[in-house]
Amino acid sequence: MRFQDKVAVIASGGTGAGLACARRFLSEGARVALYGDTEELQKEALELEASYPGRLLAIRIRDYRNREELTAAARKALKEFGTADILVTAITTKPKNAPEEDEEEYQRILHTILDGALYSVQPYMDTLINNRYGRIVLISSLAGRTNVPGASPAYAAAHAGLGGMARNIGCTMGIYTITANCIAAGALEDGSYDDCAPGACDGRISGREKGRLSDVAAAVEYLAADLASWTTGETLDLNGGRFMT
Amino acid sequence: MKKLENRVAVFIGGGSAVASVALKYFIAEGASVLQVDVAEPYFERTRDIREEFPNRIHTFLGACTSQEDMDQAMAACEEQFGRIDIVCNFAGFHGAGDVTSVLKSQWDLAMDVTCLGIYRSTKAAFPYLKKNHYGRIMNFASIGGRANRGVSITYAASKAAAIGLTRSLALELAPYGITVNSMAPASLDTSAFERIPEHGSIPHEPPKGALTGGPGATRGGSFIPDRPLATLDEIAHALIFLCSEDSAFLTGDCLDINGGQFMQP
Repeated sequence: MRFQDKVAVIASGGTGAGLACARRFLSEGARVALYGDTEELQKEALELEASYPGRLLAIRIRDYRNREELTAAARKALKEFGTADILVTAITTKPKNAPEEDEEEYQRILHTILDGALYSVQPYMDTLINNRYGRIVLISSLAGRTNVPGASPAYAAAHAGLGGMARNIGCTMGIYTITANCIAAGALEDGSYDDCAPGACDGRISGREKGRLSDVAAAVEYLAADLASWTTGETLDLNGGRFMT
Repeated sequence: MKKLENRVAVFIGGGSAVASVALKYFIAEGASVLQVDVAEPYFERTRDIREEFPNRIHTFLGACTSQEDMDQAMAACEEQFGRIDIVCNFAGFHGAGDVTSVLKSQWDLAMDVTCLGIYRSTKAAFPYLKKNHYGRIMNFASIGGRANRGVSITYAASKAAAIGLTRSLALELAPYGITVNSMAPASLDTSAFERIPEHGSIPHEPPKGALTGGPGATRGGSFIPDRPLATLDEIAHALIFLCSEDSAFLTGDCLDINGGQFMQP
């Protein structure tokens, strides 16, 4: 039970990666607050709630651009579990008309991805600062790291922004022994992070051209552990060898 | 569930302080390990755990500067443990000097140990990893090869070469189900270990005006207060991740472990 006494908050939107992280943390003894934005995710979360009674709190989020909604979600989670240790954001969205998006779509993409991460994390910072402990992991896309044919410009910018955000949080919050890191995911089995031409994000490892959602969960586990205390402001390029830096 | 159950690892430079601590973690996670190093005194550091697990930890005397030694080490591992899954390349040589003062002998040794050593051990291990269509190769680099840091020119170049070699090997070995990654820690807390001087090393004199190596030498400094160094336990945690099935989708990456001293996009 590697995360026996920990509380993890996972904000998931547009991807199955958040659910995979929730499963992982629950199996390792943690209590988990899981935000989800779809009926399907809610359904899965409710099943998990039954398997781990008292340890999973499922919270429905209508709109990741809504600061009030995310603040209220945090209040609910903190009331239920009393504290928070690990914050994971896995919030993304599929662009609709890339690369010809109009103003409205551009704003939607940017704010869902960037504001969603910020507003999910922000309301917990007082708790983390008081505890002098925190593990923040922002999951982003390969498209924010390098040229990916077919990617939407707003999508690429927003996901790149998550890297900057993680570095900044690592920089400003390090004094409270809070770490913040980023995972840039390539092609995953549910296609959630590869807004690109078909195959353009695929990995190179035989048998692992698409990453599993459990691979993302494993990388989150690495960054969220107590012993990852000296890793901060880093971006893990989790893409099966598609892009290396 | 243990992360390295029934896996077999070869530690090149297994007598180093980092590897000596990592060994405890590898054993706890279910692995067996062949420690390879150039001289017996290095193995003294892990005598206790070896006595506790005689069937799971063996030693081999050999240098990564010799292809023959590496070939024999891998063959010995296969013979003694029945397989190879993981190769951890810990061996490195600091070297001394700046661009005006560096001796050819220092340059050659740094490149030979730190960069070519990885090539030799990988070449030797490849047939055994290929056989199982599985492999984890970890190359121990340094922030000295990633950032502007007041280390010797030999260190900066050979560590950066090791990181570049990591990427090349990652691409080449991906079709065989083998991942290759590196890690780039900043300064480590090796105070628990008595220093064994590197064979061939000479004192390093930083040029006038250079930032000397050590915590805070990179612009920015650590953002995590009250301590300037990584612990070897923190390093071991990252090693377990890179050497286990948890990192199946990660290859050609370099993990930075520096307390926030250097954050590159």
